[in-house]
Amino acid sequence: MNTFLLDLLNGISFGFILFLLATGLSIIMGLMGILNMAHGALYMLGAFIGWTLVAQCGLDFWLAALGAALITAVLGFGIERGLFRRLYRQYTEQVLLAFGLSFVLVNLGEWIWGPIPRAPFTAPAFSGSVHLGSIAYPTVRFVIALIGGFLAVGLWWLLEKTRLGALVRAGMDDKEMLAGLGVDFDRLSTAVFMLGVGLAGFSGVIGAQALGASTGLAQSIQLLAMVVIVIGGVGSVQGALVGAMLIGAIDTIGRSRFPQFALFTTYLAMVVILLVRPAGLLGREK
Amino acid sequence: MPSAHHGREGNGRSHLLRLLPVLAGLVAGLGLPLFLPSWLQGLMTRILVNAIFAISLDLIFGYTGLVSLGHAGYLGIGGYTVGLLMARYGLRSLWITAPAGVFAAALGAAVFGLIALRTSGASFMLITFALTQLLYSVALKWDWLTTGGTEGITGIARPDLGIAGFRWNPLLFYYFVLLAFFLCYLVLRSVTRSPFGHALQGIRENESRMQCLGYNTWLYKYIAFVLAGAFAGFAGVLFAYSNGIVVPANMGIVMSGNALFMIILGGTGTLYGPVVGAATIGLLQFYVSDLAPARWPLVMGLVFVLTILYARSGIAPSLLKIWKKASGQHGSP
Amino acid sequence: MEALEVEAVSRDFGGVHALTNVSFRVPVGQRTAVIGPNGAGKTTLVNIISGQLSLSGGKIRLFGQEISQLAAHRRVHLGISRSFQITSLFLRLTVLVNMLLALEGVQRSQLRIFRPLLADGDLLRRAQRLLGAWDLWEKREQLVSEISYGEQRKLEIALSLASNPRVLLLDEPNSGLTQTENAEIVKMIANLGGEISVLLIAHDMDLVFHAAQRILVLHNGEVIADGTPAEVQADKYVQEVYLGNGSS
Repeated sequence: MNTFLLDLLNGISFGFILFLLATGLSIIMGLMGILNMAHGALYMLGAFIGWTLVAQCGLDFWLAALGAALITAVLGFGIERGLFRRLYRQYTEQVLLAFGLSFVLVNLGEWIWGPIPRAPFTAPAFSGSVHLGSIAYPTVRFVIALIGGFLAVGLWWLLEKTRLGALVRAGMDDKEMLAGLGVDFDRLSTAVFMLGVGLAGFSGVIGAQALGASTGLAQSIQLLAMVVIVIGGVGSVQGALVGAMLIGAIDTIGRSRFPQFALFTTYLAMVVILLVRPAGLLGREK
Repeated sequence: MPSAHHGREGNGRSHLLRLLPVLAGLVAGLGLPLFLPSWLQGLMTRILVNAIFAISLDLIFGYTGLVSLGHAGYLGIGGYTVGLLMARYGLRSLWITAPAGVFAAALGAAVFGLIALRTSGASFMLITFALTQLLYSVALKWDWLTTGGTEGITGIARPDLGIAGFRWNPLLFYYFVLLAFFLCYLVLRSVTRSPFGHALQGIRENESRMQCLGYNTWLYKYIAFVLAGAFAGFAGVLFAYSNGIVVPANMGIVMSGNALFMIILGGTGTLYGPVVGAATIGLLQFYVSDLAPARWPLVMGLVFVLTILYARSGIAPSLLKIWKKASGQHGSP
Repeated sequence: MEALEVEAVSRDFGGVHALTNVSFRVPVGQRTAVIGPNGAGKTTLVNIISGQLSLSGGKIRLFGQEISQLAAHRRVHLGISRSFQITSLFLRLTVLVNMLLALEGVQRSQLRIFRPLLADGDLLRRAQRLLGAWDLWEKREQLVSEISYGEQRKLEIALSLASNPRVLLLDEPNSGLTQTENAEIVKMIANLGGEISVLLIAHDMDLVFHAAQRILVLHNGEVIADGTPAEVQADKYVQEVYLGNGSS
């Protein structure tokens, strides 16, 4: 029973990492209609940048996390303005472009940081472990959960309780309505994209406390994030949280108990949900 | 019989002009390898195999509008079937391993199509992406399938034709693959020109209108999906024969991406476009592998992004237009 | 036996009642116009009859056969055909291929894989006849995206005739057309054989009074009048809601 508890705890912290990644993906998809296939690559870049800032520039871990978020957000600005903007409303082409971009970014990462993964890193204060009964459980996992939980509340509040959030939600339901309200949809899109991408970069560093930084992460976490938004529904923070917890648990327990079936359980869950409730568990029904 | 084409009762000369690039390609394809060293023959062989893979994807992507990100899964099934039969069970005959590979791939597409085609748009992309990753992890981890893990299956040889005293060499194998390519191309060309093929395009353009015209669009998409899977499986079979080895990555997202890049670069929905795309990418990859092999995905991704942004309809249709202008022809393609 | 029977049909979207208890019968050969203010449910009604929307309640019968649960493409084979208010064509295909696809839609041998579509002499002849009737044969090799809007509207209707329907649903066939083109539509409807029943959604009262023998008035998803043009014109409630005060 101890191993199960351990797996569950790991699943929860992994779930929070997925949540941070998937929320950005979800809101971007909901507002702009773009399935950002390069989101996982941006997570990867965030992790690497965070590593460089910490290990080579000696920056404080939290500053590094913020720095990585900022840098990826700027990168996001370039991607949105320079690339997606040119394919206005061509949703399929935008997805394909993001797909191709992911290859570019991942290989760029490999070029700059080399093919060897970086071991998990964190702030010195958190590098120990906490005692749960007889087990020594890594502190970082709690840190991740704490950050994740905090951001979950914050993002929910942002989307549901602020004017910006209201605009974003309105835009997800009906773009034309926004124009009527005098809001510049393009500027809102760029802002949302930067936020989503910045969040991806941030989650890369936060996640690196447990997962390290490596090129292999990009595609696998991209897929999981996409599964999360399928299950949780597009455009919903709560949905992303529920979906991420579910997938985090299934994936982690699956890997631990049935290593040969790794993706199978996750995939099965996704297929079942897609067939039964195409809008996801908590998605916005248009 | 009324003429489908406006005033194009072409004379012999314009006919010849139109066919010139095709003839040139034929001559090059047939004659060039005779003068090339064996490793270049091998390159041309690999390009042909990729071309078959590419045209199979064009059927569902270019013609039907189904954005599948998991097409390599079927190539992998075909390849692994051959690998398992040859290396694990010692079955070396072409007449057993090839049909088995194609059948297995078609079966995979038949099963998977039932699931995937209940979705559309982004969900379809996601579910096909997931499949390719799933197959990849199965090939990597299911020991009981003896798929050899990361090593894959090695020791696959050229198939046994059942002809006494026959020995393969790179040139003969090239012609074998060339023949296979021609057959595949001709079959798919026939399919795309048929009522079925046009109906697929109708579905791509406006699926609900097709339904209101009496078409069971799901069935059409399903048939196309299985057919494409079968041809991809065939490409996988040839891939295995050609490389002698199959690895999990052959089923994965990079391979699926490769196919997508080939058809978009060449020009979707044309069949000849993907062939041009396969050749271009094959040559490009060959060149880049010489200079900086680890940077190939970067180059490929960049080329792809640029194509999507600036040459969405691909290079082949543009080349065709230039050729038509240069040789003074009119009329629609 | 009536050509079309719509019985207590209703359709809800979430909390919105788009159609409530709509009932009427269309005898063989009758031309019926469906009119009503925007949002009255006219297009919803057509979508339900053609099968693109499922109904929340009620039944639909085509020549006595119940089709309420039948998929849209199956209904086409039973004799229903429709045109769309917003032009719904195959933009990147040629005019000819658009028509050939429409003609093929009701063929038994749809799934033919090995003979080229463009070599089917019989199909080409029929395409020539249909396209020619609408002055579109000359443009057959052009992509639909390249022809004028009026020509697209004509093709839109021509396609709906390709299946030799027994019940034809025309959703605002003349939207965006010129006077002459409009007259052509009126003529076409008049010239359709006596076997074909037509349900015509229209805003243009001229078209309605010229082409229809009977008018159904919808308002807020309900039928508020059903009779000859004269009867409907005289109906007080209809005048209040729709025709009155010069709002035509």
